[in-house]
Order: sequence, then C-alpha cells, then structure tokens
Amino acid sequence: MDRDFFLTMLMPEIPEIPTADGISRPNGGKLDQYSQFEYALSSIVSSPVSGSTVSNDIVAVRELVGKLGGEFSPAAMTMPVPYSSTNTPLNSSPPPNLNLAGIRNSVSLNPNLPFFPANPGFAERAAKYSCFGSRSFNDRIDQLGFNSSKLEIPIGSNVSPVTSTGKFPRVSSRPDLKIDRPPVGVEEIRNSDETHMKLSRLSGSSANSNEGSSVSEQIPSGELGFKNKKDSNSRKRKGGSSKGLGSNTKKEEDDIDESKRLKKTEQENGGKMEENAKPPEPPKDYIHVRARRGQATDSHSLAERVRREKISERMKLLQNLVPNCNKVTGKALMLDEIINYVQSLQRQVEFLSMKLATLNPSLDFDTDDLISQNVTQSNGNLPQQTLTYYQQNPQVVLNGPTPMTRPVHEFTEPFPHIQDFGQDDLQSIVRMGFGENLDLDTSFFHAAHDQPSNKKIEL
Amino acid sequence: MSPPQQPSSTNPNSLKIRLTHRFLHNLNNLNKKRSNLDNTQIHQRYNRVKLAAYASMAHVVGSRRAWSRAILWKIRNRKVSTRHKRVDHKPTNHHHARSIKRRTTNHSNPKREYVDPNGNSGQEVKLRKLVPGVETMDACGLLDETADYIKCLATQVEVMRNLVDLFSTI
Repeated sequence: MDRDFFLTMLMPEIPEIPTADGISRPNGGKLDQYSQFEYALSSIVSSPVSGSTVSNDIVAVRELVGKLGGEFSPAAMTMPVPYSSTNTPLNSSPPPNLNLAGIRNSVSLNPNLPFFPANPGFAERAAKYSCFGSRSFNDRIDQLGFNSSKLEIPIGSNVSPVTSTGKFPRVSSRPDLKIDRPPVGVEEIRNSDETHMKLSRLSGSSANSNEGSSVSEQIPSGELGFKNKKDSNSRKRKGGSSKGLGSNTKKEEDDIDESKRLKKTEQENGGKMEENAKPPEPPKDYIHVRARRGQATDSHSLAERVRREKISERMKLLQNLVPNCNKVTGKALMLDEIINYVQSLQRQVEFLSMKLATLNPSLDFDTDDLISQNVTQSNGNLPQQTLTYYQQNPQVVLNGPTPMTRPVHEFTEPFPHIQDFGQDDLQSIVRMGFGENLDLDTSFFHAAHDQPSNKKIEL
Repeated sequence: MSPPQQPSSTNPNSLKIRLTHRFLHNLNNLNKKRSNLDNTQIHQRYNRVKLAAYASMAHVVGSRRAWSRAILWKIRNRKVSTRHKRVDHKPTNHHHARSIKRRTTNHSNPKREYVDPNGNSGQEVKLRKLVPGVETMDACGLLDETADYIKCLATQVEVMRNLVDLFSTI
C-alpha cells in the first residue's frame, strides 16, 4: 500500500525504460529518455526556477535513478552533467552543456556503473530517498515535503534537513561530503543502492560472498515501489531469477563490488535500514536478511538475529501497552513488568467481579441503558485509574493465593449477620465499604489487600 | 504513555462496546439461571461473574487468538464436566479452572533466575501460566498473545469498572 502510493507519487508515468543500455551510448540519444524522467519527477520535485529547468529536472531525475540503482538506463545518467565539480548550490544555473570530461573522470573507477554526478546535494537527496524505504509512509511523506522545499539549500546547511528528523542514521555523514570528493558521493549513493541491490542478489554472486550469506529479509523500501513495476516479486523469490533485472544484475554486482571498495565510511547503521522496518506488504515467501558489516554471517546467527529483532519489536509494542515502562529497558525487566501488569489486571477482574456479585443479586440488567451509560462513561478516567493502581503497585508479585480470597472469606462471615438488611441497606453497606473509595482505587486496593477485615467490621 | 482509551482492533469503540454487550448478556444469563439471593452464595456468584467476564472476553475476540480459544475450550470443558457432575452438585467445580493456575506456582525458585530445560527463562514460564493458551508457543507468538491479552483484559476491567460505578450509584 505504501509502495503503491509512493510509486504513483513519484512516477506517475513511468515509461518502459530500456534496461540494457550501455554507458557508451552517445549522448544525443538520451534526451528523449530524460524528458520522460522530467515529466515523472516534476510532480514531486519542485525544481528551482533559477537554474534551467531541464537541468534541474535532470538532477532530480538522477537522484531517482541513483536511488533505483541503475534500474533505468545508465546511459541516461551519463548525459546530463549540469554540475561540475565547481558547483555547489543546487539552484545554481548549471551549464546546459554536458561536462563529459568530468563524467569520465569520475567514471574511470567504475566503467560499468551509472554515473552519479559529483553533487553532494544530489547524494544527500539520493540517500534521503533511499532512506524512505525503511521508514514509515508518514516519514516518507515528510521527507518528500522536506525535499521539495529544501532543494535550494546549499551544502552548508545540509545538516539541518538531514539531521532534523533524527531518523536517518546513514545520512549522518552527509556534512562530510565535499564537492571535490566525488568518490564519497558515489559511495553514499552506493549505500543507498545497497538496499535494492540486495533484492536482486543471486545466491552465487561474489558480492554475496563478500558481504555475507544472503539470508534475505523483506526490504520494504520505497525503491520497491519501482521494483514492483519490474516484477520485483519474482526477484525476491527463492529461485532468485531476476527476470526484471536481467541485464542489470551484472551491473549491480559490479556496483556491489564497487561499493565494497569504496565503502570506508559506511557505518554499521547503514545495514540496519533493512532490518528495522517491519514490512507491511502482503507476505512474501520468506524473509531476506542482510548480514551487517562486521557481524557473523552464517545462516544460524542470521536467523537468530531475525528472531531477536522480531522479539524486540514485539517487546516495543508491549511497552506501549503496559503503562509506566518507558524507562525500563532490557528484556528481563520488561518481562517482569508485563507479568506484574497481567497479574494486576487479573486481580482487578476478580475484584470487580466480586463487587458485581455483591451488587448483583437484586439488580436486573437492562442492557440498552447500561450499554449507553457504559459507553458514555468517562473514558479517560478508567485507564488512568488502572494506571494509577498499577503504578502504585508495580512490584507486587503474587506467589500464592491472591488476596481476593481473603476478602471472599470475610465476605461470607459477616453476611449471615446482615441477612436482615434489605436491598437498600445492602447497597448502602456496599457503598460504605467500597463507594467512598471508588474514585481512589489505589487506596482502596491497599485497603482491600491489607485490611479487608476492617471494612467489614465497621459495618 | 499515550492513553489507549478505546483499545480495539478495528473501531475505536468496537471492542469496548462488544465487550459490554457480551458481558451484560452473560450476566443476565447468570441472573436468570440461578437466582441465588442467598448471601452465603456470594462466593459462588463471584466465581460465576468472573467466569462470565472471561467468557465474554473470549467470545468477543472469537477464535482469532490462542488465548481466547483456550478460554473457550476451558469453559466448554467445564460445562461438560459440570453437566456430568450435576448429580453431585459439587460447588468445587467452579474453582476448577482458575484455581489450578494458583496451585502450580513455582515455590521452589521464587526469585532465582530459573531456566527451563527448553531454555525458557522463569519469566517466560510465568507468563505462559498467566496467559491462557500459550503453553506451546514460541517467544514471538507468546509476546503477541500477551499483547492482545493485555489489551482485552484492560478493556474488560474498564467495562466492569463502569458497571460497578453505575450500580453503586443506583
């Protein structure tokens, strides 16, 4: 669902992009492809008016292309080089003429790679876009809004949009990017490519051997939105048959090799991206996990890690349910809290059922009235009451019979004495015993647990 | 913590409303079945109300969850067993399901970190005893079921508290 939306947002009219184009194609034939990209991207990227629109769109186009990891024609990438190494701000008007010399210098390292301009802003945006994949859809939208509004920000202030969200660990190295470090830019782009490159990984590729075994995990990246158009599902299947990639696989493997060579500043957080996200898409056959840098790579430990991540994710969900456990970290303490909470809830059910039982005898339940009154009860009070009770008794752990049994027995004892009481008197008694503390369940619970006999005797 | 004031699976109010309906329905049945106005039978009524509470909880959730299935299964078994034993009229049957949980607490290792032969920590074992129906589940599923169980329990407590407030002011 997220993927589809992202897809429609970003690529409203994605054309069938030829995938087997070599880089060596002359530049003249690429303009038409670029126009297609421009149309697609104009909806998202509000290109600054200052520069020539073509080149700005081209920049945006190249961001996307970089993000897609060469999904589209790499030849198309080589054509527009509006940013030479001297241009820093994105809104500077780039020369419409292509700076092929600059291209070739950068490409010399990676003859088979798509060319990514030495533009730190582009790299930043590429990383941002790539980070969309692992974040929630809301974050994606936020970043989209971010990007569209901050395209003009020169590199100096790149830190602010990048780090303001605090959710892009792999972008933290952005400020280090200088204009005259194209390899670093390429490297960061490599990082962004990794996520979708992993999808196309063949089991026997050399890239896998370097990075670790490919126990793969579902990667709900935004790139998947694009990949799906190219039959990405088939790529994720166990067969690994990359029908949609075909000719791109070789290039992507080279990308992977290149990324490894260039990957000096990649943090381990970079690998976390695909692990953090919990895929909300329809379930695939199995789960892909990528071994992080510097960690064990055998399948057992990878599976173990997947399992641990799942458990930690569930624990986080439980943390939201159980009150007063935000500061508790660690599985053992959290489990303690959970156990206590469940026990306290069960005790509350018992206690309330006892209350209802005493109130119940002569009361007839008119369901409609009760339901309407029940629903319109102050909803906010009750959870807080539960919370306050629990907060006051966080460490009460029962190892024996619950304290409810004590009041039960004491209930039965004095009652023979008060059989003469009528219904109203009984209710008043109950109210005396319980009613005055109905708003202060905490104190009442204390009383119930500690001095149940007193309540009865003072009848 | 953001207050989950109306915790439910689909609607904001659906779980609570359904629980209320079901619980009142069960209580009404309780009243009609055996009108125990004897005050000595308070304990019995208490147990039946508690059973009605859990039954309503389980019925509302249905068979989607392991814990609800376990509760429904237990109730069904209890009904069958009580029907068979109705001749004897043993009131202790009502204690059956709940009291078993109390008897099997771990007295030998109350505080020490206890690890099962399976590798479960003592806490997991405790949790398995608390939440019905998770005896044979892995840790992942256990946490899932626990989360759902907590959610429903909290809602049930809320409903019951509402009822008590209502009745106490009548």
